[in-house]
Formats: sequence, structure tokens, C-alpha cells
Amino acid sequence: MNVITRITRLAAVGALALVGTAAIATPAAARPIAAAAAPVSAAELRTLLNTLLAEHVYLAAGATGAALGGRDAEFKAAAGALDANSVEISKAIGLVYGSDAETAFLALWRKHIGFVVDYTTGVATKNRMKQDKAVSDLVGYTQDFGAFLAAANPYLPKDVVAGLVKTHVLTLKEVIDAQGAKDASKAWMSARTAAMHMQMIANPLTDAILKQFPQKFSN
Amino acid sequence: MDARSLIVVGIIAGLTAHAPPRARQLPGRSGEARVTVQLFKFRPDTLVVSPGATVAWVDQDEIEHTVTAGTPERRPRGSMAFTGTLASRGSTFQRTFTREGTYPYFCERHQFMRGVIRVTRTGASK
Repeated sequence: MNVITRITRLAAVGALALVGTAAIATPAAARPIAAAAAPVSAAELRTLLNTLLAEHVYLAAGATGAALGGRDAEFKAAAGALDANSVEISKAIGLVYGSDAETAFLALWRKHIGFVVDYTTGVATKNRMKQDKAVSDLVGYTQDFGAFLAAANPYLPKDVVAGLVKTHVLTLKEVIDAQGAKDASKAWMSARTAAMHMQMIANPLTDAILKQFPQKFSN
Repeated sequence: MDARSLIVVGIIAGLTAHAPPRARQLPGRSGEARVTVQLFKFRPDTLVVSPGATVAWVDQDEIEHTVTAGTPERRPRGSMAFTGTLASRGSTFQRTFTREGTYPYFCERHQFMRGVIRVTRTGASK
């Protein structure tokens, strides 16, 4: 199987895996933190968001690395775990803003993962146009994400959130580029940078939620 | 149920107590029915009006949405087709529904956002 066929197949499998959560069972023993213990204190909320968002980066890096390396089974597993993480992040949002917000957030969040899959496919196939389109979609997505959180919380200005998410996109792009160049050292160091950056999203998000609902979370 | 669980249940109950009803019935002839677009959702997602009612969509998100007839999978043609653009917060789009029927719609930019206008002589409230 040539590389284009393989990545196309992987992308198709990935899209299915990312969209079809119902088909992906999370073992009870490996139940993630949001399902296991809903946050009730400010510290727990902060820990939950930081953990989930950093996990998002490592799982995304695992999925893209496996896809670019042509490791089908690993890619499917990583994509499934990545989607489970997406669901958990959405549940955390739903805990604060309700089930409608949870549903909308999950759809938005999965959308950006779809664009990352597009970008990875572009890297794998050395298709510059596909890469550029995916980057453009991702940058556009940052505006949507910013608008969503700004609508949910008056202490989260759209442009500020969009800027932080743009940095997330760019740091993850560096990981994928390094994976595409077969530079494992750079890829994993970039993954660390990208994961650490997520606290720049998790902490302001936590602070804004606590400011918006000071009575809901204990200190 | 331990204290921790009670707190969580309390938070969820408190935050969802203000959730809008899934379907809202509003009069047609006498005025305008309104759908708010907030947090990437049409609220209410199902609106029941009388023939002749004008429905106004109001964007409360800081992003562009559309009000596009049909569903992404099945788009109507001809006079049944319409698209309104809600450029950003405060933008509105209006459409008058003269004939009975069920009119699904969605946002072209965020296709998970779906809504329905049901036009019926008997369904609207008095």
C-alpha cells in the first residue's frame, strides 16, 4: 500500500473514530478523571481542566505520529483515546454550562480535530494546498472557539481566547511537522511545549469560571 | 449519597434550572416570534407559529452564523430555499412563514446547529 492510500485510509478511519464516539467504549477501569470525579472545589476544577487539556495534546501527538508512521492499529487506538478525551473536556464544560453547551462544545472541539487530521494528511502526502487549507480552517476555528467561550463567560474576551487557541494550533503544528520530518527528538520536545502551553488556556478558563460562579466552587 | 455528590447534583440542578423549553409556541399574526442564537445553539430549537408569522433570529454570539433552510444533507430548492446571514452579535434575520408545514434549518458554518419552525393553525398558543 503506498503512502497516499495508507494515509487516506487512516484519515477515513480517524474521521470515523473521531465522530463515532458511541462505537468507542472506554473501559470502566480506565475511566478518565471527569467521569470519575466531578470537580467541586476550585482546585479540582483547575486540576481537571489542566489535566484534560494537556492530555489532549499528548493524545493528538500520539495519533498524528502513528498516522504519519503508518501504524494503523496504534493510530486507531490513539484516535479513540483522543475522542474520549474530547468527550471528557466537553463534560467538564457541561458541568458548568449545561448539556446544550456540552453538546455544542463537543461538536466544535471535534471540528478542530478534524482539521488537524486534514493537516496531518497534507503533511503525509506532501500536499501543500491541503496543509494551507487546514491551517486556514484551524485559524478560522480559533475565532469560533473564542466566540463560544466569550458567549459562555463574560470574563473571557473572544480575541484573547482566540489568540491562546491559535498558539495551541501552532504548537501542535510544530509537533506534526517534526513527525513528518521524522525528527522524533524535536517532535517530542515540541509536544512538551504544546502540552505546557495548555495551562495558558486551562488556567484563565478556570479563573473565569470561578469569577462567574464564585458560589459554585469551594476554595 | 455523600456530601460531595450532593454538591455536584446541586451545581448541576442550579445551572440547568434556567434551561429553555425544547419547543416554544408563539402567536403568529399578532407579532414576531424570536429565536435567539446563543452559545452556538438556536433557542428554542423548535418553534411553533401560526401561518403569517414572522420569525426573527437574533445572534448573541460574537461570530457569524447563518439561518439556512433545510439540513446539510437535504437542502430545499426554489421558494423553499433561504439563507440569512447573522454577521455577529446583534445581527438579525427575519422570515415570514405563510404556509403550514415543518421547516428545518441549520447554520452553514456550524452544521451541528439545527432548528425547526413548525407552522400550524392549531399549534400556536393563543
